[in-house]
Amino acid sequence: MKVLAIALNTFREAVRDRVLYNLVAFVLLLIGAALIFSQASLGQEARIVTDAGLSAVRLFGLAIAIFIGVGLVYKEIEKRTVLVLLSKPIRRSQFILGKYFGLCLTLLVNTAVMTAALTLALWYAQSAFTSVQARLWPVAYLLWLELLVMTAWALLFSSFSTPMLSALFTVLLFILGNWAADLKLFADTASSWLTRVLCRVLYHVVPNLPDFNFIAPLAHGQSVPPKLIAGATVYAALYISALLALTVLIFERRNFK
Amino acid sequence: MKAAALLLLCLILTVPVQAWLDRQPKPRVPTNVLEDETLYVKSTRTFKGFSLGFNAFLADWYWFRTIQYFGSQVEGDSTNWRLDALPELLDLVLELDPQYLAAYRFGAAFLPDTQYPQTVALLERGIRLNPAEWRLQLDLGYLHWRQKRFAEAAAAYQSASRVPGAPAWLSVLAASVAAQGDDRATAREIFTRLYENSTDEYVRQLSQARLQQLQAQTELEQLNRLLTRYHDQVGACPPTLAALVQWTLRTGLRAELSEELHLDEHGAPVDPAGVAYAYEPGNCAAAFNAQSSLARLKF
Repeated sequence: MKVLAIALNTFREAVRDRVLYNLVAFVLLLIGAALIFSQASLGQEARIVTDAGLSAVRLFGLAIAIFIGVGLVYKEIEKRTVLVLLSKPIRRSQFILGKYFGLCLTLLVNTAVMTAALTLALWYAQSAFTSVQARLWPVAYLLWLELLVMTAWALLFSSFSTPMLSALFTVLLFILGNWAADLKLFADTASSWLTRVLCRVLYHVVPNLPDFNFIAPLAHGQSVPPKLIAGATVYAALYISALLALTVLIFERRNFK
Repeated sequence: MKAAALLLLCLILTVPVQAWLDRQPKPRVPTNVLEDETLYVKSTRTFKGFSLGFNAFLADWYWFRTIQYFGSQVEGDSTNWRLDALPELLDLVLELDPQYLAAYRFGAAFLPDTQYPQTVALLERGIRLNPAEWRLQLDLGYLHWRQKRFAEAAAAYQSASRVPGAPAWLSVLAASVAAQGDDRATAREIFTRLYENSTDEYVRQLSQARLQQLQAQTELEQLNRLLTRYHDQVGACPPTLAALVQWTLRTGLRAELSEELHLDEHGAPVDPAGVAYAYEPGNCAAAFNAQSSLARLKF
């Protein structure tokens, strides 16, 4: 219940943040622009709207995760409101979990709104409801999972670092996470054993973000197999749990005086 | 303690889950659109303008993509490569960094023969921007030689030999190409120099494979000459090539075969790739074995 209360409060705070509205508005604008420009695409409207729309959802969702996520804990520490909170019978782990789930809820609402807008845009582009619009939602769900993973990283960094550094680290991890397949390739083919071991370790430590990205196959009319969705969900749950556990470990040892 | 245990447990559990995900077949984008997606950027000059001083890094990035593109195209059947996007990828790398020598050399080795004018233009641009780099002129000479333009090839080798620090054998090579462009010995010389002077592993492998193919061609000529002699002397074709080799040992004709010729455990001659030569007793003819990589080598 305490976690839920903190989560709902975090959600309310996030919703009041102007950055959020600006980003969502920008995504909606981008989707509108994609609709206009796609008319010059010689029959590729659905593909362009899908590509551009989901990419915007992903990119701006990441921006939300970073901008809000890196300040989640840091702001409370800076303003000393964390001392007030923790003087209540609230465990530090409950505080962290509440903050995290609050931002998850924020991202869920935003992703749903942006995906709904994209569905309408596709309906307009194709002049009918088609299977692409239905297949959009599992892909959007996986993108939301990806954002949850990045949010967990942002929260982890914000528990011990400044917002600017936390944002930088999170972005770097996002980049590394997209190169996970290359890390695996190096781990399998490098001639030096040290490189192989390091790459293998890195491969399992950085988030494997390609597991969550099916924008290109969707744009080519393919759907995501349910077992991949299930696998990605299990992976995200385990990975996020590990990150949250680490965040709690660090936060419990922090001295706010 | 609970948090630490949860952290460890969850991290460990992600390993088998990720391994399972890696094994699952993923929805794939059709390969005929891979080229468009690989390129993404069509105007190289505009792209360079937007690189904001990171052009060296971006050149490295696109070089990496070029290698991945090449690798994805040549996986599997080595005789049916489609490298349509390769010139544009290389152009992008070189627009970002005109001193990217590896890109010029890679293009010289792997752009298909149908892109000869573009490859020549690529190398000439590289030579203009990197006049001290004699290896680019070596590559240009090789390119002309492959097209049987021996005069241009000789001119390129001669020009390379005039670059300070260039090895002396370049002028010898120029003379050989001018005089006997189509000669196997000249070809052997060219590929040997390419192999010795290239830092690119693909080019070295290609050169080594071509040297093996030339060696195999020499051995086949020798085997077929000996088959004719055998037929003339014995009145029939030998049942196998191993029998032919035995006959050369008995008759003192072993010296007619190359010292580098290898035999398998049955005494049958094998090509430099280790595959036994094919033999048709009815025609008294030895040839490349269709299973051998040397028979399938296109370049």
